[in-house]
Amino acid sequence: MSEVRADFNPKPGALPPGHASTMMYGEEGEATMRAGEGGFSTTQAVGEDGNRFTTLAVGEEGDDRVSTMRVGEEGEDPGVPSGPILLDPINTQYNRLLELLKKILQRLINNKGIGIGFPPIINPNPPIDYYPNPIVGRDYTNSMPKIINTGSARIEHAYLPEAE
Amino acid sequence: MPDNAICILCLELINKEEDNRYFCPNCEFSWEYKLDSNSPFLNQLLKLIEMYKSNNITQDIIELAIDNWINELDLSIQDSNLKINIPIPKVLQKALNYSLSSLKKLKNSLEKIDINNIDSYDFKDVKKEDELTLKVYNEIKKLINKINTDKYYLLEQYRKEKIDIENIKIEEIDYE
Repeated sequence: MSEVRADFNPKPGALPPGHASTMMYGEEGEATMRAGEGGFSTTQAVGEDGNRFTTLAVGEEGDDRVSTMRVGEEGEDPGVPSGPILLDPINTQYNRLLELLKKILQRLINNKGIGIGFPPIINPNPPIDYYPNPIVGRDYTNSMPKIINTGSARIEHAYLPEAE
Repeated sequence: MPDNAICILCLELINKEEDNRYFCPNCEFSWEYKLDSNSPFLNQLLKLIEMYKSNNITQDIIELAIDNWINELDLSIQDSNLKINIPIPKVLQKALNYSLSSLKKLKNSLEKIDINNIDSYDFKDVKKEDELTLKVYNEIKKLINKINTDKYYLLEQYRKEKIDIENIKIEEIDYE
């Protein structure tokens, strides 16, 4: 039977200093914990013959950095880059910088100088030239419907002074 | 061969029919790419030269193609000639420099084409510069893929060069 031991008092959601994961007393031989919604999830599996290991996935969605650290091992996890930026997955400054640099590179890749890329978008939806109020002196002849069926003619007639 | 290609005559997107065959519905031209390591524009231009030599098209079509290519290069040069007033990692600066330099050299080689002696022009210089430009394009594409797959790649580059990103002011910069 595998034995799970912890050198600290486990409290849900609390990370002890120097440890890669918080261990929760679960079922026999196996403990799984999901800490908060901050993108950190810790799965701890306990192997045979005391071969205990922790797989820690850090970061935001899609971040594939995975570290392996033995339970109880202290210090920095070599699989996860250190520093405050990486521990804070929503680092505004770095994310903005990253987006900006991506845009710069995208400009180079979109170049059509060699015939690869996309043609410039020349206003795919040109603004509709409409006049909410009639303008004095403007010729509206071409704005009138070309075909007037009997129904619409009758309606128009209804509003003519002669019709009264 | 790329999925996206532009017709050198009308500058519209053209359809890929087979691996090295494209068709432009606008110009009703069927393009065949013979040189894999060269760009779509060069392949198209060489096809036009072949047609000109067999009296299927006139010289003004060749002129139009070269003019269009030079104009497109000018636009691309503008895009590569960005003035960036924040520190950027060397790998990005290199991409910008190589892009700008290769496009400029390619433009120079096109401007040297003697249109009146197009029959005997060897296009050696144009082919060489075009190949280099395509290589740079592919390298930048790889770099973009790397950045997209590894979010922290650029951060590592900044750290290697000991650039403190915390103090970079990017508020008023817009490279759209």
